[in-house]
Amino acid sequence: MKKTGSIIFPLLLFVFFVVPIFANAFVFNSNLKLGDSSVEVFELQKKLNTDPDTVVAFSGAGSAGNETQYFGPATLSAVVKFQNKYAGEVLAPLGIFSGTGFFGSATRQKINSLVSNTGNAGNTVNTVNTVNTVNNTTQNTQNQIVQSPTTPIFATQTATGFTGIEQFNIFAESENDKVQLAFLSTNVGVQGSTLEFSGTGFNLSSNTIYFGSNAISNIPATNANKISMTIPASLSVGVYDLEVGNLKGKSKSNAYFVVTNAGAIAPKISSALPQTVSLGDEVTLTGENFTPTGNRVFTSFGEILNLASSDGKTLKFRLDAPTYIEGFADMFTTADFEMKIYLTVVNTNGVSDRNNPAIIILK
Amino acid sequence: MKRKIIIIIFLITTLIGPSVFVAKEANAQSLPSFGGVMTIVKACTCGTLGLLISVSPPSGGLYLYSPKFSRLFMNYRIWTGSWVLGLHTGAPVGCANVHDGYCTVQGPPAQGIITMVGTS
Repeated sequence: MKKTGSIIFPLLLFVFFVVPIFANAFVFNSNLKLGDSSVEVFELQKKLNTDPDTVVAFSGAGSAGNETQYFGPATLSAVVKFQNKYAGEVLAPLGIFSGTGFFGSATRQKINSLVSNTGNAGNTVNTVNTVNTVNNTTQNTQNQIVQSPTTPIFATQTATGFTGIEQFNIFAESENDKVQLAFLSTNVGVQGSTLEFSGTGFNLSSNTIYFGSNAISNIPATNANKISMTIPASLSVGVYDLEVGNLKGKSKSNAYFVVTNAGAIAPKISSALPQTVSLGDEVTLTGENFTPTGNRVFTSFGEILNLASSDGKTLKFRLDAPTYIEGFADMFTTADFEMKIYLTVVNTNGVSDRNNPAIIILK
Repeated sequence: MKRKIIIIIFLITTLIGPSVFVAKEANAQSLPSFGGVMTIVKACTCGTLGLLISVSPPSGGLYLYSPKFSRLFMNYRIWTGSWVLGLHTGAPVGCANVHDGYCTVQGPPAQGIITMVGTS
């Protein structure tokens, strides 16, 4: 009895612990095509059915729970969907731009990478998208990104205060011969508040910080990549372009900083209409705390300056093609083109909520 | 006998158990990263639609921003001059445009499609 127990118990452990590991990580090794029959086809159908975008069939043979070993037209169609979904990795390297349905090495490699991840083909992007905080060492220019399930990337930087070079030092020593302004701890503050920013080429003893045409001189740096300063009382309320200068030169960034009054209530966007737009369309933002003049609207592809709002609740602007992107208008005319455009409003009251920006779809 | 079972359980839980989690995490964490100033943006108008982005050092290269695939985070600015920090697939992909009626890749390929990117 004791001997039987000594065999059965490890066997049970094997079944409960080891088998599920391999069951969840089926590895595809063979080319598969229309007309094939094999266990791998069965596993392929199972895998494709885990992603709503690549379902083999919604009912009957091939549907979830009813997978078969036959590679028929429905399987082929699902493989094509899979290839098109991951075209950048599966097709483009081969110079092909549309799925073929042939389950070859590139497609196998992709699906195997998904299998080893979560067992859900549709989850790769989502899994990656939960990667949030950035953690680097000062010795390594290749920043490492670690998982944290709560806030988006840079949320810690902008929402909870600058966590600084310690968190994402992507600046190599060799870059410090050039003055560059990279990331700000916040884009909004009152006189007397602290502003920290990262970059390269900062002088340890003396830098000049430019708030528009206002030059604040003799600002020391914590190190070559970080400056911490107090917003001077002499700086009046306003929206300023921000740059850093020292003996090495002056940065050329598109950073901005808003000096607000204490108690100012930031602008808020309630709606952006129409939700789907074409290039050249007029977009209307409704919300609160827009200023009579000098509102800036930041889109994903540019900035619209000095917008007026007569009622403080409405802003109107035209969405044009970004001129600095070569071929953007051509891309826009492509049949299946669709792109999210994020919108934020900046004025002397502050910046609208960037954790929940307004979104319109350009198509 | 009990001792043997305890040893077996110990071995299984310490050796095999953690490997499950390591394997699951490894895939997400192994995506290559990039970061620096965005210097050039060009549209890829056929094949894989997207924007070819050139990122200067510290950790630069060519990357493809795909409207369908790439996730854009704060401050949501795909602008020349913005700082970017993100992850990409690591699988090279050409930026194709129509020339003489054909979808043609010109110039060096992107090092990968951007999966997620935050900007200054």
